Amino acid sequence: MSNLARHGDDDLGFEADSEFGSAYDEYEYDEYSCSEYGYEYGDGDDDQLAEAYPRALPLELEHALVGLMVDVQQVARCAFRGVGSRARAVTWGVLAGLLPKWHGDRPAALANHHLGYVYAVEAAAVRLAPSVMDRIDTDVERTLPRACVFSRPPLSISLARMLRVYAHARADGQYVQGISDLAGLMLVQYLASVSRATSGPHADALAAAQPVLWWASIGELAASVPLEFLMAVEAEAFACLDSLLAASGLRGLYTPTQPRVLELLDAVDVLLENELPALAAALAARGISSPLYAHRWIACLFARELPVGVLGPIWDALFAYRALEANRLGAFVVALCIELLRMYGKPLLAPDLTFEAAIHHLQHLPLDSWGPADAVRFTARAAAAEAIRHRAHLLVEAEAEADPSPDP
Amino acid sequence: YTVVLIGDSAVGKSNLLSRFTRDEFSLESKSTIGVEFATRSISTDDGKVLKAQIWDTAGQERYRAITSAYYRGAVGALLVYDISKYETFSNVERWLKELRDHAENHIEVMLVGNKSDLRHLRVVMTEDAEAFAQENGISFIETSALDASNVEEAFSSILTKIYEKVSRKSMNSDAAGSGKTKPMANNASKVIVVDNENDDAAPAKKKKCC
Repeated sequence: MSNLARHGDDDLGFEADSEFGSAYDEYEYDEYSCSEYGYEYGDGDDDQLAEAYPRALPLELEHALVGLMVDVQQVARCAFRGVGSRARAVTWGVLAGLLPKWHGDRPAALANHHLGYVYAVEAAAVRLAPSVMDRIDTDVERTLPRACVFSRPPLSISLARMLRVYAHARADGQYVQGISDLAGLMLVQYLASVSRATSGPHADALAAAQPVLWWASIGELAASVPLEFLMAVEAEAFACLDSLLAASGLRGLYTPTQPRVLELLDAVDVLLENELPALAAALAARGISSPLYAHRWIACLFARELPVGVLGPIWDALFAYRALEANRLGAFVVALCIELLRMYGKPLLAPDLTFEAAIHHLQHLPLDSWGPADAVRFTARAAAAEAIRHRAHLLVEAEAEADPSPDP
Repeated sequence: YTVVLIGDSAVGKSNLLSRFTRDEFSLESKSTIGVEFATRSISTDDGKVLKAQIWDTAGQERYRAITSAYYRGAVGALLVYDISKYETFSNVERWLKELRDHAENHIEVMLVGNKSDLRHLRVVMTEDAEAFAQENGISFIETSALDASNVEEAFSSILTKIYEKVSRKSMNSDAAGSGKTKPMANNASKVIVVDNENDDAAPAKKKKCC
């Protein structure tokens, strides 16, 4: 039996009534019903986060998650500060609405979801145009190519299924590039999170792996778990992805004309001009507008810009927004773009900087050295700025309502 | 000169760019999201140095409403298809329409059949592509970014043609008595002709704006 095979029923009432079993069953058993459980941030890429946010944060998260009813608001507040990879799957599940607030409702909800996903996979396989499937297959091979996890089964099959279901169910049967990075990273982060919450050689290897070996470990892990388990992880990762994109019109990032990308790029240009006028002028003088540098940031939700260990805390914050202020998630994505420009815009103010050098700087921001704590600080600043903008906007609206200007 | 690389997804545009600008080829290339950029200078037969800004666009661009930002100011386009995938050649006509709709009127276009090293998988005949290019008044070449064949030639050829076109326009406008040129609003579209006084690092001398 695999080390990731399910434990029996646990004392929170997680029963195995799904045909796959749930990726959460054992996760919750190990993490939240064991008294010796504690977040030990001493492993791998969580080191920096442990320094920045010691044990108080995980305990808050644990309290929010463990009661009879999950405190979603509190989980979201914790997620803004990064939850660490072991708690990521359950946190995303709660914030995405995949896991009901009442623990007792979860087995049925997950079983329904798994079954629905199987139907969606079958429908996509039958109805999606062969040319679209070909495009998806081509992109699956090209997703995170250096990691070599999506160039072979089983993860290549899982990712292709997720993309087909999304194209069929959410994008009018079309496939738009960019979502493969998003879905692929969501799948592996989810798998890593679930597996790190269990014990056994694969989970231990993953926890101990250095970043460069992390991908090899996740590939081995995926190849060793039962297919039913992987399918459960896939279905739940898909639900999180779908839920995130359902907020604030983000589905429009991955429909053929990409209307939401255009709207968010326009918003970046407007905010840049309002808040960083010197930088806006410097870029305008060189003929540089947001589509030339921020398209990839937005279309991949920063998946191409940041290492996987750093991306986690940023996506934690996206899920937190999804739960707390779903209709402002797009504004938060724009705020992240503006924050990046604020942090790395200074070299662009040099008067003798060429167009080429400016574009190169913007398309290759020096983010490789970031750790999770940097990501948490980055999202915190962006969220604070977005909140201030939102309040200012509300204030302006309230004033306009209170004192409407007379008709000319 | 600003040159854009366009064509269906996975035909090898990014590898053509990296082969030309860095002499590199990667089997692990990602899909391009948005647009990426590189530059390289080449010398013409008459001793001029032409500096090219090359924009590598996403293969799904024609589905998007964002293309004008990428095509604006481009004076050349390499329209790439994969000789081993017929659909990528079938779509060339739609890409041409895309260019006509969004790019400058006098953009120089070259049809490029890439992956010519895949001889055993060839499904697009050279004669068919040549005939298509002739019908549409564009030039044609087959390349392989993998073995580097004709990559240099493709870029050199289009840059030289652009240079000749710009030079002719310049002479015509001089002959017409205008003599003056207007700078472009968008720096990305500027035409840079650098005298070849073997100093690539010297400040570019702007001779003419298109």
